Amino acid sequence: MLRRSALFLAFTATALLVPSAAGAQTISQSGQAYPNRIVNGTNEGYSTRPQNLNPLGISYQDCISDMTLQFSVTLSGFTGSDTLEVWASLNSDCTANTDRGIGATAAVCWGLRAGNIVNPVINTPQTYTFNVRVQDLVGWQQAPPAPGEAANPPAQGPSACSAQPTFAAVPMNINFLAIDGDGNSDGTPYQYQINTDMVGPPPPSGVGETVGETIFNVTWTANSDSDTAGYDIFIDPIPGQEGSETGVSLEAGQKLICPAESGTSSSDATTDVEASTDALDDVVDSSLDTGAFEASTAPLPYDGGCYTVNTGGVPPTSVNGYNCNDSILASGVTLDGGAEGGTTVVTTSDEGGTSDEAGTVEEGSGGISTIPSQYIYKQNLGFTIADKSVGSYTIQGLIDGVTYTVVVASVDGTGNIGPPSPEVCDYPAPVQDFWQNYEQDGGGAPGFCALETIGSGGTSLAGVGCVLGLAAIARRRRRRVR
Amino acid sequence: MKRLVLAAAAGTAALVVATSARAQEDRQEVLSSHHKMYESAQHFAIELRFSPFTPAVDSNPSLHGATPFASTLHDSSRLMFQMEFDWQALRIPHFGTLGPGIGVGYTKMSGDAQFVVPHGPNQITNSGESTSLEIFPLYAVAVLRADVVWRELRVPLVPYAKLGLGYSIWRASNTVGTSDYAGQVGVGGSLGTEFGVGLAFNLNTFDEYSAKNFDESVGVNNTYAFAEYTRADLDGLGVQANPMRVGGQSWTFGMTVEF
Repeated sequence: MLRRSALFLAFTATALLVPSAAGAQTISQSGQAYPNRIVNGTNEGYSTRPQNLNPLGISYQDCISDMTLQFSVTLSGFTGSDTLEVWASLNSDCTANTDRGIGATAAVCWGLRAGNIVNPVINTPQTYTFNVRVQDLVGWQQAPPAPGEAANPPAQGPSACSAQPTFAAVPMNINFLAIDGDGNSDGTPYQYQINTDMVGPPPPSGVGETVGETIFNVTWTANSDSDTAGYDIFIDPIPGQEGSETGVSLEAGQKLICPAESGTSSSDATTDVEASTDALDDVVDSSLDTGAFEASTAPLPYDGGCYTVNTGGVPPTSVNGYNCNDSILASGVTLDGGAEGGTTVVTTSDEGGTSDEAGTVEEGSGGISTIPSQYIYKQNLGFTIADKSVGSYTIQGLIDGVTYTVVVASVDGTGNIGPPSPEVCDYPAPVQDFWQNYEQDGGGAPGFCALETIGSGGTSLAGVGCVLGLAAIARRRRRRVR
Repeated sequence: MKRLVLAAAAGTAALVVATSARAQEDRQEVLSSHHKMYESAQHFAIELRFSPFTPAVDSNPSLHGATPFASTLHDSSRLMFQMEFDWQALRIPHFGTLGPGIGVGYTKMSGDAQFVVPHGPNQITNSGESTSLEIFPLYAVAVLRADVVWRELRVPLVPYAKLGLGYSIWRASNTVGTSDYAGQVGVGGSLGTEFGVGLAFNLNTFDEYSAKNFDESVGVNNTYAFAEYTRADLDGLGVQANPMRVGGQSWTFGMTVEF
């Protein structure tokens, strides 16, 4: 009996003591569940995007802005011979030495240069802050560093943002490990999982256009991939800023429009054809307070307020009718890291000619649009067509005669804007709808409230309702300038 | 104006006669209910109506032969959907029913707006802007159904006729919204007469047992398929000056249930 009691006590003591000796280190998150996001030294909080745009994940914009994720973790049970290390991986928890490149020919984890804590002596739980650069996190996903430098790889740069091979999102692990004096993982690590997506979906195919009076219809074949969440439309010139074109050159069938403030009036190009119609001229001239410029076929150095309109002659031509060569939208190429075959290195530049982006491009696949964001239609309103099944959109409020160029780019659930579609261009022009034809042919008044004449002449309830109804309709009606 | 009086008189007469005859009908129902225990009371009818429809817009004399409708929206027929609710207020012994009915409907016709001048290098004329005309017909009619041949001779055919007033609200629009030209907004209403004559085929004859169960369970006495010649002359009746002629004539097909 005494012997069995002694054995039981020994077993119990062993069970209690062994775990505490082999793995007492514990790492846990402290405070909020998500890391703060630091951009250019500013703490943006744990979310920098709307809830519908994967705010807790990593986007291309997060990466290219050199965002830092700031983790706050609590360490307890560490001894003087332990080290806290931060590792990243696609799938592993990095606790196996071979995953960290120790005793292996290749590593699947890589150190995050987050400021390892060497030999912390902690008697009571203590909180530390670790900064993880997004570029260091995502840059090694295709080719982890060699075993010899896996624990402390070189810092990644902007090219890390092109490391994602396809437009499908890539989940990643950030592992906080307690490493003992022998280099082994010990205790209870803390793992934070994060979804990274730095490649926008491919552009829609079959982009086409039609125009009407002050409108531009864009059509496309909706994407079927799982990454696409919606579409952005880019347009140049920006509606409402048509007069900001510079270096405009007149071609046959075009006319230069400038504000009256310039003290001049509009004029046709010397090569303007006789097919220009009074109808279009009237529309253009009456819709704008215009001034005149002498005609010239050479580029005109006007730097504001002037733009060309098509007057119905022979506009720029190509095989399919239009020659779309908008330099801004055409230079909006894509970045697609890791693309194999058919890639080219491209550089984009802004309107001033300043190079601002570079990367590899794989045509027809995912990527990132580098068109300046101000060319997104209704960019100031955060406009995005948030339905990937949509295949058309009508841009309204344009100026008849002005040639607009439009491209469509797909947007994923993280807010990445993919590469743009081929350009389409056209110019809105006056149309005659049924009502205009009917009225011009003598159709007369609508007669909506004619029944009021039956009454005694006083203001009836029906009359009030009729007036209110017409007022509401009038507010919505299209204002045509005739 | 004369037609207005006639149409109004028809509707009013249907209402007045129906109201005054209501008590008499109730007494007849009591008697008939003793005779036909399986049949529930029948007071109403609902019609689902479908017709290929083309409004007679271009018939407006003020257009002087111009055809803005045909040239813009084309003359091909569009589907019009309507619903009608009838109150069979009066049962005329050995003849049928008489009572008022009201109906609503909807149809829309669209086309491409035309460029003022041929557009672009290919000189196309059809623009990418749509133009359309929506019509919401409303009408009130007196409905006379001669169901005697079905009820007494068991021949499953019921001829009927309708006469009353119609008022159609319409809206001309384009891609951007309601059309507007020279200060005239493309919304209006057109008043006129409504006339219809048709023949309904009683479907109960195919399966009288099911029809009886249908009556006992939900109170539907008869189910018909019908064909009807419908004509709406919405010319203003002298009250409106040249309203848009959004009426027209068409063949209407559909289903009727009496309950």
